[in-house]
Amino acid sequence: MPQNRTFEVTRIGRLQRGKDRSLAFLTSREDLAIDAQSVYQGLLPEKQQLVRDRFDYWLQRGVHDPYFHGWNDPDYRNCFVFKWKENRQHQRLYGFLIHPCPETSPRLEVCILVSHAQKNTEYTDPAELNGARALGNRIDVVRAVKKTYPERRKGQNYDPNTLDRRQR
Amino acid sequence: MTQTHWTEDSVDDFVHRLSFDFVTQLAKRLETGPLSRVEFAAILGLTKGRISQIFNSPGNLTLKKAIAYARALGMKVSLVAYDDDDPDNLNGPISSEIFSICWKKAGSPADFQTARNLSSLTDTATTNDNVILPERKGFIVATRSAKSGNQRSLYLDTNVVLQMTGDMQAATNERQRQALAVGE
Repeated sequence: MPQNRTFEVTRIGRLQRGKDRSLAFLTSREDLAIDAQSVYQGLLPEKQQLVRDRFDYWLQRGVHDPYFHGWNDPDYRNCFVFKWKENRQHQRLYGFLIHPCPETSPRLEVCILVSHAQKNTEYTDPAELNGARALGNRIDVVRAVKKTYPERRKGQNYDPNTLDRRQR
Repeated sequence: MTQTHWTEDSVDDFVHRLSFDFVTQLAKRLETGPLSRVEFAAILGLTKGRISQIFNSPGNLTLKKAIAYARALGMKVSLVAYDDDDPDNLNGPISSEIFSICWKKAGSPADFQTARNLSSLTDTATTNDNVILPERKGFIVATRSAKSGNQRSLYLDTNVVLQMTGDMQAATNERQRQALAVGE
């Protein structure tokens, strides 16, 4: 793993407008294992559509474990996974959940997608969860999240779905 | 810059999303209902693998197939056109499951008269003793005690309020009449 990693968080645009939810990718130029965004962007259009459907369903606060879920285990409570099947293989996008604006939008929950895994079984490799959890606990990652999802300033309307806030 | 939802790109994209919402409802029914995937497949004359394929990648589902799948599970299908005040489709489509949940919560009305009466559920209503205020999942009934004069609030489910008031439309009309009378 590279020693000096820099992180960026990119909101996923054009999805369902969730009132209190948003989805984003974590990227790092130095760490190729953080590959959720590159894998998603490289999917065939129909498969990307399928994953987008699942993103939309989560943003609408839908519940359906075959599409996505978190874990009850206290160690992995902030971990999250989106799932789909491709060529009889189980595809997974792992990430972590975070509330980036506790001061001004405490209900806003963001799922930051980190890594991709392809497997033959439903079984979750704890290494994937440990990786997502460790990233979610890093101060520089949290800082990158907060840069994309800053606390609202006085008089500013908050919309977690628009992309224009990224520039601020 | 505000961007449109991805289903705004083409009619096919929108159909894909509708198909996804639809098969999600079926998949959930299969999870909780009496039929297994194998039995469901047998009714439709399909293999279990084909069913998994449909659920995993619904593509552009035709109305005929949608009806056949739903009927195999003992369900019916409605095609709902709605106006959610989002003509540019910035927010994305409302999932069909949400319409289904709302319909069930409203007591599953099966005729227009009942449905028309339900339209008043968003308004505040007053009966002789209570003020009924809509709440996120039901109603808050505010009652003033005749003895102490203290106000007491009680949370009630929509169906309970309907039973209590009998006709919410009449109650709402009366409330509006009273409001006009006092120049509110």
